[in-house]
Amino acid sequence: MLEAKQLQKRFQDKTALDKLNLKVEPGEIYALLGPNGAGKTTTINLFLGFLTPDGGEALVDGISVAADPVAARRKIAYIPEQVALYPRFSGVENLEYFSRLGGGRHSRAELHALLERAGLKSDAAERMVGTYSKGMRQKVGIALALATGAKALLLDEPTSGLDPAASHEFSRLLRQLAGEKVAILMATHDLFRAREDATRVGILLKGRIASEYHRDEFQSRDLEKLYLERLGA
Amino acid sequence: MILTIALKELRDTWRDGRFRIGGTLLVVLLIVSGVLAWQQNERTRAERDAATELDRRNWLEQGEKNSHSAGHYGLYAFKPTAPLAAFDRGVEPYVGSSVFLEAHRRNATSFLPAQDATNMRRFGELTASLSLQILVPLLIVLLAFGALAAERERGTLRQLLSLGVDPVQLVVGKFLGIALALALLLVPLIAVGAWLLSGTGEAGDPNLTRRILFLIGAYGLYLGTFLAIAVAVSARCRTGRGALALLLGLWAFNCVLAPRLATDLVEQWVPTPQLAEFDAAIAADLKKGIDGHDSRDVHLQKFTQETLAKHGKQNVMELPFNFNGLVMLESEKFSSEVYGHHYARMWDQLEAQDRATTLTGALAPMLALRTASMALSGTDLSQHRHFADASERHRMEFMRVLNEDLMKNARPGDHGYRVGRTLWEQLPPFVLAPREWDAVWTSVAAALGILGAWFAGSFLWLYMSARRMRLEVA
Amino acid sequence: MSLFQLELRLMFRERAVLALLALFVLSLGYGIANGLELAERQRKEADALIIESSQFNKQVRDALERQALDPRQAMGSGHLALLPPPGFAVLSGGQADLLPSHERIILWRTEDPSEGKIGLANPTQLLTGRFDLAFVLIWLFPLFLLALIYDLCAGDRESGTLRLALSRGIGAWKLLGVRVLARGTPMTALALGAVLFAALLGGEGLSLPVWIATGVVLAYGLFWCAVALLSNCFTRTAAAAATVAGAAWVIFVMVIPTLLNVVVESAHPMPSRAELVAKLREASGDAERRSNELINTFYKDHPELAPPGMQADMLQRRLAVQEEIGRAMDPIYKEFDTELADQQQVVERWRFASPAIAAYEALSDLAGTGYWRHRAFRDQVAAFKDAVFEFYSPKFHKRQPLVKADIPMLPSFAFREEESAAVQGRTLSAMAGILALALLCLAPCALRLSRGASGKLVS
Repeated sequence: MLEAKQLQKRFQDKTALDKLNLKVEPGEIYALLGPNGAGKTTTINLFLGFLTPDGGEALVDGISVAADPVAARRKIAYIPEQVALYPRFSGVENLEYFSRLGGGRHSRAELHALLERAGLKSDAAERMVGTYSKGMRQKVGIALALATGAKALLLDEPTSGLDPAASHEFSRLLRQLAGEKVAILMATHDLFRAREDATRVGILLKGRIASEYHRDEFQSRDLEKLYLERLGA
Repeated sequence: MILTIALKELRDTWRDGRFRIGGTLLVVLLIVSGVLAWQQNERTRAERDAATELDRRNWLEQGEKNSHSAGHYGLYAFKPTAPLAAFDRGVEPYVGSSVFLEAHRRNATSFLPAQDATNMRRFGELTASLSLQILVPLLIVLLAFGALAAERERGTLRQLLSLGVDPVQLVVGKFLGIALALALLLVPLIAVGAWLLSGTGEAGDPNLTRRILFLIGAYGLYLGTFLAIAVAVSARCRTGRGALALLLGLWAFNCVLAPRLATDLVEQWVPTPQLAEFDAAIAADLKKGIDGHDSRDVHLQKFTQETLAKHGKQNVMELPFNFNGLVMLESEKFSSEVYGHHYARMWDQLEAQDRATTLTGALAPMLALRTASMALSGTDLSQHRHFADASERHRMEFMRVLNEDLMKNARPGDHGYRVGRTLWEQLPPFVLAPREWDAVWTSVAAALGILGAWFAGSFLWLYMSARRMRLEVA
Repeated sequence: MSLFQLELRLMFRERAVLALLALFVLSLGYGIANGLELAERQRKEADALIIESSQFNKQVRDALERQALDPRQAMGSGHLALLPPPGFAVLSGGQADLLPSHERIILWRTEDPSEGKIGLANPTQLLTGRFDLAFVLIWLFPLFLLALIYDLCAGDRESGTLRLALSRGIGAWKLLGVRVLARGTPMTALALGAVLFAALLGGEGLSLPVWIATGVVLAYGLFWCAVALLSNCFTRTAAAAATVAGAAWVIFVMVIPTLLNVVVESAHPMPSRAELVAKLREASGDAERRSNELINTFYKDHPELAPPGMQADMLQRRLAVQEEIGRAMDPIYKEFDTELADQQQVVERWRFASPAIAAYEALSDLAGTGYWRHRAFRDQVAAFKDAVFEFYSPKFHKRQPLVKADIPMLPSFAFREEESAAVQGRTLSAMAGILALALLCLAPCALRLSRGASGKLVS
C-alpha cells in the first residue's frame, strides 16, 4: 500500500534520504525509528507530496505521489505530532471542514458517530477546539482518517507529549484501524509504543533503513537494546 | 544599556529587507518629487514674472485717456509663488493665481490650476510633504510592528527580561534604534532640501529660516508620535501579526479616512457660504449707497445736495473741483467698504472651517500636521487671503489716486479730460509683502499644540506599555 | 455544507470581520448620503438657472408676439448654456466641484476674466476631496478587502493547519481559490449592492451605465483578490503577507497615480494662465485702438451688413473689436484645450498602470462628472457661441429689430449627451483591462500553486 522505491532526497549538500526502500502492506503498523535528522519526517513529507524526491519514487496504492499528489493524498490520512485545528471551530466543525477538503460529505450525525468512534463524546465535540487537549486533537485526527476511509495512515510522532492513558487509548485506535486493513506508517521516538503496537520496526540511519525487525524478533528481544546497538554500530 | 539596545536595533533595521526596499523607494520618491516640484515652482515663478511684466507694460502703454477710464481698464495682480511651495503645494492648485483689479468691483481670484488638469489630481500630488505625511509613517509601521511583539513570539523577550533588562530601557532602546535608522535615511535629504530652499528666500520672506526650522520641528513631532505609538502597540500585542494589523488600521484611519471625513463633518458644522447668496447680499448692500454711473440714483442726488450745501454753491459746475471725480471717489469708498465687509465675512467663515479641521487633528494627527505644514510653507488658505486682501488694498489705492486726479485736475464739466503715461507711472506695481510672523504663528500655533500633545501622549503611553511588560516574566 | 460555505463560516467566527464589514457598510452609507446631497445641490442650482432663463425667454417671446424688439433686449443677461446635472452623479463627484456647469453667452461682452467661475469653495476642502461613493469604492474598498483576505494561507502555515488541510488531497489552487472567493464575496457584494442602491436612490434606476459600474467595481475587487493571492503565494508569514498587501495598496492607489499625474503634467505642460490674461489685455487694447479701422475693413468685406451711411455706433464697433480679440485669442484658448486633451490621452494610455486609475476614470465617466462629458459641453458651448453670433450679428449691424418671425430662430442651448456607445466603449475597456491585470497577477500564482508545488506552500 505504501511503498518507497530507491527514494532519494538531498537538502543542499546534505543527503536526507539515500535510496530508501520501504513497503507497508495493508493491516501493517510500521514503526520508523531513528535519531533526530535521520530522515523520518522527510519520508513522511515525500509520501504526502510536500517534498519532491531527487530520485526514486513514493507510491500510495500504486499511485506515484510525485506524479499525482492530489490523487495519492486522497488515499492517505495524516496525523502530525500536533494536530493543527482551527481554534474558532468546534471539533465537529473542524472534522466537517477537513473531510470536505478531501471531497467527503457527511451529515452531522455521521460526523458525531465518527468522533465517538475515535473516542470523542458529543458534548466535547461541540466545544471550540481552542479548549482542547492534545489527546482530543489527536482524536479529531483519527476521526478524520475514519471519515475519509483512508487506506493508509501517516503518523508523525503521534504519541509524544500524550499522557499514558491518552497514549494507550490512541494505540487501541491504531490497532483497530490496522484491523480494518489500513496500512500505517508511524515515525516515532516512543520505543514502548512501537514495541506494543508495531508489526514491523525499521531503524533509519543517515537516510537508509539500517535494519528491520519483525514483531516476533523484537518481542523476544529488548527493542531498546537493539536500537542502541544499531546506533552504536 | 539603552545605547547597546539602540545600536543592535539600528543594525537589525539597517539589514532588514523591508527597510532597504522601502527606504530606497522613499528616497527616490522624495528626490524625484523634490526636483519636480522645484522645477514646477521655478516655471510658475517665471510665468508669473513674465505676465506681471507684460501687464505692467499694458498698463503703461494704454494710451491717453480719462483717469477714471483707466480705472475701468484696470490691471492684474498675480500671486507670487511661495518658495516653500516646492515642499508643500498646499491649496495652491485650488486657488486662483490672479485677480483683476478694476473700478467699482472687487473680483475674486480666478484660474484655478486644478481646472486645467485631469481627474488624476484627485489622487493627490507627489510632493515631499505628501511622502513625509503618508509614506514615512507607513515605513515606520512596517519597521516597528515587530520590535517587541516578534521578540515575544520567538521567546527572546522572556529571555531578555529574565536577564534583568529594564523594560523601559529596552523599549526606549528599540525606539531610538529605529529612529536612528530613519534619521540616517531622512536627515541628509532634509538638510540638503532645507539648504536649497533657504537659498531662495533672499528676495522675499525674512522668516524663511524660521519657517523651515518650525517645519522640521512639526514633522519631527509627527513622525516621533507615529514611531512611539508603533513601538507601544508592538509592546502590547501578543503577536507581530496582531500589532501589524492594528497599526495598519491606525495608519489608514489617519492618512486615508480621516482627512475626507473631517472635511465633510466640518462642512456640516460650518457650511461654506453659497455664491448666489454672497453675490445677492453684496448687490443688495451696494444699492444702499452712491452709484457713480447712474444719475437717477437717489443716493447720488442726496450727496449732490449735501456737497453743494457744504460749499454754499448752487450748481456742481461752480464747485472748485471736478464733481464727477468726487462722486467716483465717494462711490468707490462706499463699494469697497461693502465688498470688504462681505469678503471678510466669507474669509472668516472659510478660515473657521480650516480651524475646525485642524482641531479634528486631536483625533488624527495628520490633520494638524497638514495645517502646520501648509501654513509654514505659505501655501494655506490664510496666505491666499493675505494675497487677496493685499491686492484689494492695492486696487483701492489705485482707484483713489485715479479718481483724485480726475477730481483735482479735470476742469468742472470737462468730458474730454485726458491724462497719460506720467500718471500711469506714478502708480507702483503690485508687490506682495511677506506675511508677518505673528500672523503665520496664529495659523500654526493650535496645530503645533495638538502635535505636541500627541507627541507627549504617545510617549507617556509608550512608557506605560513598557512598565506593563515587567509583569511578563512573572 | 459546501466548502465555500464552510470557509464563510470560518471567516465569520472572527469578531473583527463583522466589525470590518459594519465599518464598510457605514462608509458606503455615508458616501451615498454625501453623494445624494451633492447631487441634490447641483440639481437645485441647475433648476434655479433653468427657471430664470425660461421665464426670461417666455417674456421675450410674449413681447415679440406683440411688437418688434431691440435685439439687445432679447439677449438680456445672456443666453444660458447649461450642463444638466448627470443622473448618476451620486456615484462620483469627479470634477464637478471644479468645473463650471453653465455659461452665459453675451455677444458684446469682453472676455470675462472670471470665466470658469465656480461656486464659493474652501480650497482646503477641494484639495482633500469629498467623502463620496467613489472615494469609498476606489480608496477604502481595497483596504477593507485586503484586511479580510490578506491572510489566505500564511497564518495557516504558521499554525500548521495548512499542512493538514493539504494532506486531505485538495489542490492548493482550489483551496486558496475557494478561500479568496469566500472571503472576498461579502465585502464585494456590499460594494456592488451600494452601487445599485445609490442608482435607485439617486433616480438613475438600473440602467446600463449602472450595470457597467458594478462590473468595474467587481473587476476592481477581483484585482485586489488576485493581489492577496499573489502575496500569499510568495510570502512565508502572515505579517509578510500583510506588508506586501499594504505596500501594494500604497503603490497602486497613491504612488502610481501621483507619479502618472507628474508624468502627464510634465509631458504636456499647460500654457500659463497668467500669460493668457496679459495677452488677452494686450489683444483687447490693441483691438480697441484699431476699432475704427477694424469696423471699416469689416464693412468693406461685408457690404451687405453695412448700416445706412456706413456710420457705426458703439455696439457695432464693439462687435468688430470682439471679433478681432477672438481671432487673436482663439489659438491660445485652443492651446489650453489641446494640452488638456493630450493630458487626458496620456491618462487614457497609462490608466492601466494602476487599476485604481482605470476604475476611478471609469466611475467618473459613468457618473458623468469626468473629463469627457465636460469636454462635450465645452465643445457644444463653443458651437452655441457661434450660433448666437450668427443670429445676432447681422441684426446688430443692419440695426434690424427682432420680429415675430424670428421666434423659432432664437438660439437656445440644449446639451446633447455624448454617444452612449463611446462611454460604454471606454468604461467596458477599463473593466476588461482591470480583469486582465487581475489575470496577470494570477499567472505567477498558477505557476506557484500548480500540482506538486504544494510542498513549497506548506514548508
